[in-house]
Amino acid sequence: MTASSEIQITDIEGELAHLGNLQKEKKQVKAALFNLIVYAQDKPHAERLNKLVLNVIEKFPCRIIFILKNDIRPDYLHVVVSHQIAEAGEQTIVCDRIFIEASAQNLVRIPFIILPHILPDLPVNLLWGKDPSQEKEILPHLKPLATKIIFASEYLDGFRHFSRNILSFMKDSSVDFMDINWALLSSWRDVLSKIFDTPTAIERLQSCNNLNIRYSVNKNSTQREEVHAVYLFCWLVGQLNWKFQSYEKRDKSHFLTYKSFSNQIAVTLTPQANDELPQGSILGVEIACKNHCLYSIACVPDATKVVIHTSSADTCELPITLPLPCLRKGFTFMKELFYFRTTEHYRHMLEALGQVNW
Amino acid sequence: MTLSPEEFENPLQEITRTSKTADPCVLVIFGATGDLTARKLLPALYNLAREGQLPTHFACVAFARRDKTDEDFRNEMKEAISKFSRVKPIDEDLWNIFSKQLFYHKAEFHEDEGYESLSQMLKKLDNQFATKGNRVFYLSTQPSFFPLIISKLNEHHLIYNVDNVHDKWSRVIIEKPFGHDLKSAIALQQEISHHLDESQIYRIDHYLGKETVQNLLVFRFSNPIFESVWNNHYIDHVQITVSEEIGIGTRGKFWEESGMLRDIVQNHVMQLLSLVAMEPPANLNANSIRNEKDKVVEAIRPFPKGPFDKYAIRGQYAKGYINGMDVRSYRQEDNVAPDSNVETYAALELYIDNWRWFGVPFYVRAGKRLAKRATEISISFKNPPCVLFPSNNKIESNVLIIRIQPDEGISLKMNCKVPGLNSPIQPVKMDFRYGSYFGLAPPEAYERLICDCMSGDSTLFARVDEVLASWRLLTPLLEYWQSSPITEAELYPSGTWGPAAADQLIARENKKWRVL
Repeated sequence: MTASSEIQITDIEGELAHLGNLQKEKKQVKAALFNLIVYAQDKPHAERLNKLVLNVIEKFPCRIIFILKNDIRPDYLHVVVSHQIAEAGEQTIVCDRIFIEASAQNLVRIPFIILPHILPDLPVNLLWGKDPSQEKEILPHLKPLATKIIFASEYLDGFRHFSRNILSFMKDSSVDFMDINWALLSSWRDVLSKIFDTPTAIERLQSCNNLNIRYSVNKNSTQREEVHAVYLFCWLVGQLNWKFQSYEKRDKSHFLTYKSFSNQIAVTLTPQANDELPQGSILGVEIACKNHCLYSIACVPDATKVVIHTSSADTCELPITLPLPCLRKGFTFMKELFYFRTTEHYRHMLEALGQVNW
Repeated sequence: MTLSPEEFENPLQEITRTSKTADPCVLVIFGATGDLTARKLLPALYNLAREGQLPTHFACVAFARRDKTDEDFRNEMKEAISKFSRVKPIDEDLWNIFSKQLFYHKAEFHEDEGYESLSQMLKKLDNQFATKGNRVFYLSTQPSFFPLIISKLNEHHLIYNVDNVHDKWSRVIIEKPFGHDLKSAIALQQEISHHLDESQIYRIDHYLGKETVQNLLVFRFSNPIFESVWNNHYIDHVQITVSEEIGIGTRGKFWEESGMLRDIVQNHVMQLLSLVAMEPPANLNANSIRNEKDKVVEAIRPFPKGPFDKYAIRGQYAKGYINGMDVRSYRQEDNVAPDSNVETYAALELYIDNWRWFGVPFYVRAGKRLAKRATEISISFKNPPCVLFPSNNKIESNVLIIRIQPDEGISLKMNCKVPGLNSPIQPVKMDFRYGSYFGLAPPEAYERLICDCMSGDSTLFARVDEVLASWRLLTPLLEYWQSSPITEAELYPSGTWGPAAADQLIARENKKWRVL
């Protein structure tokens, strides 16, 4: 990032122009595929979102408008304009970055501050560090302009509550949504759809009687480390039409029972200590089906691949390996976030999520 | 309740975000000890594996004459991938898994035992890798071996009759050139169609696998602003250039039998031309697109009888300088006759006689040892119908430039007023560069094409009718050039833009070749 200093709101455009001249002198390339408006409700969230933004601009340069809620003083409002530099392939690309810190009292002014600085004719993507159904000061003004709202469901307030709010929010909105945790799960969803890719395999999955999903927890675990495991499981429920029967939480594991067409399914979501991977990463899925058929899908230690063992009463197949694209920063993840539409699978998953009193 | 494959919709698959899934299969590469396998095919397979695009169940067999073990072949391919993959360094963990899917089969193309043992080997691999009997046979050999290999494959039941066999498939990828003139192309097609249905034949032209070439369709058919002016009312002429700085290298023997018209114009240039000139297809199915491409080639006006020089110019590179270094002439290259008649440069003036393009010249040129490496398409628009501005203002025509390689992107040249009183008009460029907007290295052409073949998508492969149509157009010119020796005037210094006659060709219509 280039050096930056606080400026007045009225000087934003002037400062962007000044930086533009400096960039031309250095023969750097400025590019923007879309506007990215980011909202963080506190500094730890801002750091996490900023890391994501840096990954975004490496793949898709954009104009960044970063809003941080900061109650340092009741009337606090602080604006900084800079260039964010991305090393993309052999080129150095610069992206405009407008950073606004505002107290809760001043959040209502934010939409009016940023509206003139949205690049016309380009998509407007909102990256929201708060449950978008609950944010009332800024988002309602920006939603009519938005192409997509991307949010991190780790900030949500209870699965059931979240599911209902988001389903209702999506119903009333023509904007596309992307839940970051849902995007991060795309590689696991791909893996499962590739493993169970024939009518026979799906029938076997429907006949499963035991399903265990293991996920990582580490020493400094905060809440919601089970998000991915819960999402993955609820996706299966939604797509396979399993009926909820019971739920219990014991010793940090989650125990559920569901019913498929013909049998009862016992589901366990099991935390497992692991300090190597980001918390909540799925470590493995074990599925026991009728006729002693077993699927064991396990992540390798660096989570770049899964190894799949399949066996039945008569055969034991050689293990196969499928890649898990590095989804925290790779091109695949960025495409998921910005270019793929959320499908009915997400809605079905949310509906399944809302059925359980977690 | 068991669903049939036709009825089955995988509930776990999200249609909108699912990329093509290649079927389980074994890929057999004939001529696998050649350059193409090491430089392109195996790096492509490795990168497909790296991106999760290779089928879950997959194996690759190299079929060649040299004596090697599986391990020898794997080691060689590891070295090749380390050198030629677009992503380096090689991922050792991935390599450990990927290499176990590579096998070597020593056999002669003409010997039955080789095919019998291949058949046994493939059955074993089906059991080991669950590849379900699906086969891709990649013929990376001299074209003269194609009929032999295909007939042997058929004889040994390695390729399946599409009318009788429905639970597995077999496909054959054939490298260009498909024949060396019209007669040989027809003969080749007749021979292989005894054994293969057209749906099983994948004629590869790697240009079609390039991202920028695929972007042509997206650019044309998702931007109505351009489609509405994409015709003879607004377009003055089109130029297509495929220019290389390099010479023929060590391919003298191949080049002496080939030449620029066969190696580049008949395939790559004609593909670019048909994508630029085609009508919008009814949908994105392979046949819909290929139907429209074929219509373009069929509509190209044949060369009139008589001297071709009015419409076709050839050249051969002489000594010169490239990047400040002396380079030798074509005739001084290894394995090239000192009085060789083969062209290393061709420029043509073509007309497409249909409603959209009637009267619009398409100038195409391709050459080796030219001033720089560049492949581009430029669409020059007509000048305004009347001149509003004072005559001391030179109004340049609008030009849309599609850069295929290098510096991939699109730019539009237009006119603007220079700030100030009584100011002249200045051409400026709006520019989009792939590298600036999409930072990562795109997939290589062969990755896309091999994946498409494994998925059964033939959109990016040439169909027999378009191939034969381009041979029909160019064969008379080939025969004419073959029968007349290259003249002094047709020699051009390396490092220039070709023979002077090529400039005269376009200047006749008061136009100039674009400076690239």
